[in-house]
Amino acid sequence: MNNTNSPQTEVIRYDDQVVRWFLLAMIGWAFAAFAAGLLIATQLAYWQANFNLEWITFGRLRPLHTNAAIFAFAGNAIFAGIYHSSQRLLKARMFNDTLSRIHFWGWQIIILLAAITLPLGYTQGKEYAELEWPIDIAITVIWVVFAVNFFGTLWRRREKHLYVALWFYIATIVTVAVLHIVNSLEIPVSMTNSYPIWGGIQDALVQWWYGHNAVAFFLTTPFLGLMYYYVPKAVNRPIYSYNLSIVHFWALVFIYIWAGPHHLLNTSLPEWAQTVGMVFSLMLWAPSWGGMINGLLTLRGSWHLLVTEPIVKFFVGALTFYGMATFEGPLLSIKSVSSLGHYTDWIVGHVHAGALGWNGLLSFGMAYYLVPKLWNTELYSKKMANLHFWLALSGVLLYYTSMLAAGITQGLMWQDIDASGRLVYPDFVETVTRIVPLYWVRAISGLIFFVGYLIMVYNFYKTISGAKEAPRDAEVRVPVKNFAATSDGEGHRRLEGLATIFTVLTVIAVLVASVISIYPIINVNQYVQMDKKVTPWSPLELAGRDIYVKEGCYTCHSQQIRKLDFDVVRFGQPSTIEESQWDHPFQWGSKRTGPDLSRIGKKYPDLWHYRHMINPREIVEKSIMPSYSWLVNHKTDFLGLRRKLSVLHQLGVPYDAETIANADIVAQKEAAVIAEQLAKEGAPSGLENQQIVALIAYLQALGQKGTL
Amino acid sequence: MTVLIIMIPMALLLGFGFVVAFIMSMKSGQYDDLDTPAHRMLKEDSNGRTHHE
Amino acid sequence: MNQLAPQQLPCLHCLALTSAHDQLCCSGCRFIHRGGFSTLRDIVSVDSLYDQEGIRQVYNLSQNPAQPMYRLQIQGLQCSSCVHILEDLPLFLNSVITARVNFANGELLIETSQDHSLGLILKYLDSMGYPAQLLKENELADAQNTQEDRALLARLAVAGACAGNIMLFSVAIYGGLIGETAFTFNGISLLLFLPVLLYCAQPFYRGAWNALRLGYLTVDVPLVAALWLSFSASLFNWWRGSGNVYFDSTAGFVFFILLSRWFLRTSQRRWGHSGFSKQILKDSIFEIERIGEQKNVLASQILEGDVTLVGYHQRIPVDGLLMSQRAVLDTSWMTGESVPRALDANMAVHAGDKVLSDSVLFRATSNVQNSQLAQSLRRVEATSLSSSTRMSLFDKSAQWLLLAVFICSGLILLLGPWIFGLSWDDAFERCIGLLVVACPCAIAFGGPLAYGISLKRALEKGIVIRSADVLDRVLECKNIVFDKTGTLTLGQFELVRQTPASIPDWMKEIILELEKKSHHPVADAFRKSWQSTSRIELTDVTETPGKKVFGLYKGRLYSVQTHTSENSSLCVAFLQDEEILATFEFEDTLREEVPSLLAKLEKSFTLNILSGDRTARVKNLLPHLGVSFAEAHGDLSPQDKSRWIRNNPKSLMLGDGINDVEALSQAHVGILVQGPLAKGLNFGSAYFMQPGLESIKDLLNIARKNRRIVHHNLFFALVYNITAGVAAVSGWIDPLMAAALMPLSSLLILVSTLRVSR
Repeated sequence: MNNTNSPQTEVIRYDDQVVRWFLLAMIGWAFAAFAAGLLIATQLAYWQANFNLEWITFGRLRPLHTNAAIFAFAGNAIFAGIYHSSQRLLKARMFNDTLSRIHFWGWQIIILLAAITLPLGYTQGKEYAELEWPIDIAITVIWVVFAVNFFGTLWRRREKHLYVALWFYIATIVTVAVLHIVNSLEIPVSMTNSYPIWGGIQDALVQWWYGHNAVAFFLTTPFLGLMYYYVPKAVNRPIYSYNLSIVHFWALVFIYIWAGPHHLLNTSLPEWAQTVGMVFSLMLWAPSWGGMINGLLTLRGSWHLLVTEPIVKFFVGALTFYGMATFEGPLLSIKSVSSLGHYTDWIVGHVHAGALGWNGLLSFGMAYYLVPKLWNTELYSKKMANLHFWLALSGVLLYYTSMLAAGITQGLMWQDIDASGRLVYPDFVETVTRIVPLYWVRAISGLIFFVGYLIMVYNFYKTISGAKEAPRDAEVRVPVKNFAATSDGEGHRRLEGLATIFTVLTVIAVLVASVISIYPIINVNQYVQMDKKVTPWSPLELAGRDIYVKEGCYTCHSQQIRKLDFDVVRFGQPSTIEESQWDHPFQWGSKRTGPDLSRIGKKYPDLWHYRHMINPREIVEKSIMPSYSWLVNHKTDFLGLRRKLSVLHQLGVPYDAETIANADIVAQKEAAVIAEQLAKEGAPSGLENQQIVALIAYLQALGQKGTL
Repeated sequence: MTVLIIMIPMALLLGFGFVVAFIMSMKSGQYDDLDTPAHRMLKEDSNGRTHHE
Repeated sequence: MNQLAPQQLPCLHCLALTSAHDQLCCSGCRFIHRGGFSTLRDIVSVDSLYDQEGIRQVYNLSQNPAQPMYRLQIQGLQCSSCVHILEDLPLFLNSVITARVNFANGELLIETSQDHSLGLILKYLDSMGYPAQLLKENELADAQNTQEDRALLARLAVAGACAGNIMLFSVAIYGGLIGETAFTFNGISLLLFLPVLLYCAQPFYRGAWNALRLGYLTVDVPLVAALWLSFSASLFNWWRGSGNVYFDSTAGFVFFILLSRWFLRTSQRRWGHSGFSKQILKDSIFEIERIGEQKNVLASQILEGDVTLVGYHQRIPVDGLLMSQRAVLDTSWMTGESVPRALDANMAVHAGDKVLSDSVLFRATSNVQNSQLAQSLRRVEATSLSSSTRMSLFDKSAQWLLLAVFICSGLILLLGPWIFGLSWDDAFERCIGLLVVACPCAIAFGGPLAYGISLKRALEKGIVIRSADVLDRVLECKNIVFDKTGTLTLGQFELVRQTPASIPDWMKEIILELEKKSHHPVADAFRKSWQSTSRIELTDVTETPGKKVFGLYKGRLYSVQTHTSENSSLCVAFLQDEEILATFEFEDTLREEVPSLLAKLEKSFTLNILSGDRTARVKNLLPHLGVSFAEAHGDLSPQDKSRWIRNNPKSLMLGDGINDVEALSQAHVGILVQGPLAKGLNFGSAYFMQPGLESIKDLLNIARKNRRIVHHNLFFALVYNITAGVAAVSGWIDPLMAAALMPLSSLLILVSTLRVSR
């Protein structure tokens, strides 16, 4: 009797090629993300590093850095991990090789487009969603390709039970799709410009519902899935508690979606919505730590591997940072803590503890696990991997501590009010120069992390080029699928249908949850008091506002004075919901490297702004703001204003037909007045067509539009 | 408050959706055995050759 | 505290820690290590009995004739490799289409092709190192358990979803939402609360009803009261538009309590199945002759009057009359007697006896359902079922606490207006506040959780505990009672004394040669003591099973035959012609760990032995044990044992045989030690999966630690209740406080309880 090679079995060959590609893409794009990060970190410490080049000023590079880190580095890491682990967990080759390839190349093209358009200033001005509408559509298409490919594989699977990692992947794919689409609803003005359909507080809520869940469902759930796969694999031990992992999943998915409003604490968002965000953020702590403990305890009895195996070091490091970040997150969503930490570098430190510590270390660990396996060879040097780990770890730690110190220092200085009720540090720049040394420390920490990364690249280069044989795709032998053998309706077919039903239900659930959590949007009129009339931006102001968005001013300046004494004393009356109601997109901002600008209008003469934009240090000696000298040379796009106004009109901004029809002429008239005034005050004449005038018009209008 | 007319069914639908998803997966036996899957996933795949020891 | 065996090394195959001598943790790893599936290529000889249509029918669980399905109980599942290798079965066996392991239950589910050979599959599994037993479908208890598990899980999910959603709406209100929207939000909370009240809380209603019917107070009673009172009050307050609404915290505590109960439920491992008389001996197949026709049938298919053949080392499946001339049977299951009995034709044999001589023929006088064995087991099961609802220590202590809370809240409502000058409205609010905050959660949550974790921990140590209250009862015991054969001893004989002291080699060789073909324990003991060189050949070797064996060597007659001895152990004499040259005495081998273990147990317990074996053998054993026993009896019938247990109510009994089961099921704590029948049976309080008695130490440690944690939790609940109670009575508790305190107290209890697992 021949027991082997029986006809009942067949061989399934996994598609490992696409995994190798994604892995290489992750390693390659990491260079862009880290290098950009290093450069902008240096720019904050040493403004000269902006090189007076518009394409690489902080405002334009920062979106490139975040997008590269999230979508290029983390994104490719996720895809590599999902394509690798899902095939094995489902015992099936990816559904369709062509879809896999479209997914891969499509995604790389999107990243390339991002890398080109963002430095050129084509941006929507919404954090982590800066990319313009054609790229948004491309992302949607590629994501759908990915989803079809993934669910097709799920459909064809040979393993009935869905391992917990797969649940995390499903949640990721479904939710990211919904988030992306809802937050990217926009009306194009041109190929490179558009306005989001949401405005003001609506946009703020949608944006932070998206922004928070981008962290949740792009940087947390997929990585947790990877963790649940690769940590047990690396130590060859089953996960500490499989039960706990299931609980972890359901609790996380349920709670995460509600936590978004914690990014808007103390703002003009209705009080109760802030409370919902705060409470649900606090609740997140429990499942997050459950997951971390589950991961760490998987190593029980194998702690010796921590000493010998660099992969295990990376995973333990990643889990520790996950624990740290998920402890700090809820902490920061307590209103009083937020009042100290919000807008400071503490948040930046928190984010990097997550991105570099959790996502970075986990991705590196996964890469060290996968590269030798996928190229059929041994790692070139364990020593180098260990060195990489220690460099990466000390880099993140130094980064985090320097930013924590910077954030708290600055936060306390902002809050400091003396007995007479006056600010102790009335000069904003004073609070900035105090932390510049820490910006240097941060830049150095970034360099350390970057060096570690370069060592990894070299290690992988030697590993792959030293492989003795060509890489081969892994195979698995499985019993031949026998659909005919379905008995009493409980057979395979029904079980496989379940994945689809589950997915449909998850879609519905996420959609509904989304609608509810952005409920105040629909309901917003209840809070916007229509009798407090706010006039929309004039055509020239709008042109200036678009420049403000294009230059990424929101990356350093907020436009939201919180209902906190020290904010009010420093910047003026708290912002109201009404003031920003015509803002598409909203520009409340999330970081104050420079002061809040909500009430900057009419505070200084036009010439002040002119000189300040050309060379900030001429006005504020210690300023670290880049110079924007090119604004004097670039011409304002007056002709496009008609279309812009009509699009905004469609979105409900009350422009009358005459203004829309003559938008360019109205704007030019406004510009002439300002240019004349500038010339009178001593600036060169003939600036009326230049962007600087439009920007000054916008800045001078800030805080001047509404009745308080 | 017309918005509540949309919202209430939506909220209930959400809760319902989660519960149904959970119960469906439970009924299909996804949660009957929560020990073996953790072991099963550890199985190593063979690199390029489906041989047996 | 490191309780690991001194030398634990990573398994050579899978790296799981193991103390096995060959550094391989399990059969699977051993199997792969020595070559894996390729070593099985040549299996040809297969037990064809399993491939008879009738027998397949019995085990086939599938309705689909094209794809039969079988469930197998697998022994020796240790690590991940076991799962991998067993699930790889389809790749190497044509006939197996799918194979899925259930690790926790130790089961393998296989689907096969129509032309499969069950015998081959079983043989395969056996050669891989996983002895497998087929399971039958009629294990209703099991299916019902799965149903109940799932029902509780569904309740848990609904409660979780509803509580979460209610929280969302109530948080908005705590956050400052007022007016019409707030009213609507509370209305939605009410709607979401209804499934919690009417569906999720059902187990509490059942529990409370049972308790009230039987006249005692469990945690369910105040739980139900609090649930409904707070619901009605919240409903009333919502409707009139003022006062407090507690939907969120009430739904929350229902969820938390269900969670802890689900945890406890899944920690209580069920073993054995009802309908055990089918389970026991169920797997054997016998050759019978019925009305002149020979066939192979399952034990359960044997009818009265069938002439049945039982092979060496098989157990007799039904009662009957011996038809063979002579037979040697090990009757220790039924009697506890350690020495095999020799029987002549027409003597009665009983189900459960093990055949030690060559095959035995007997005529069945019963079927498996009405054999003495089955009847006695059925009696045992009846008693063990009726006594299964005992209250745990935690419940008992908790009821006083709860009663106090109830009286307090009643007093506030009744006396508040008189003494403190509260308005009725205020008194009502405070009474509800007290019930919601102070009452049930900390207690109802902490108890099951602590017990659940202890049970899990016990399981990790190889102790299966039937129900949580065993942990309390273990500590109430004053006596420990040991069965002798199979418990203190291994049930195997070894040579302990001989006269003359030194036996010449020629004698040894003749004796070994005489006993070469014998299955008698004496023969085994000789073989274990002496190395056979086997140079000589005897002629005309004849055995009278159980009596003597003789043969000729160089013209002289040598024999080994039973002999009586002063000490009355098992004794044989070696004779040359008619002259006794030597005598040998044998004793049941003592378990290695027993003396040191007894020395430890002696400090806290009175020790006793109750044995069905001869009194003299019990007496002989005592000096080897090194401790003094309060009572040590032999020659006890099963009824004697259970009578003794009834007279000594606080006894913990350890045993392994059928003759122990009645006493075990009546003992305060009855523990089955690992033996041939332990896992198949559905009685007793606990079961040791590892051979030997070391587990008793672990069990006591776990029980003590559990009691400590439970006491801490009760203390915490007391402090919490007093504090929260005072706050509620003083009117400081509003719904927001209640909503915050409830999960906070649960969290504290959780942290306190998790110490058990360390």
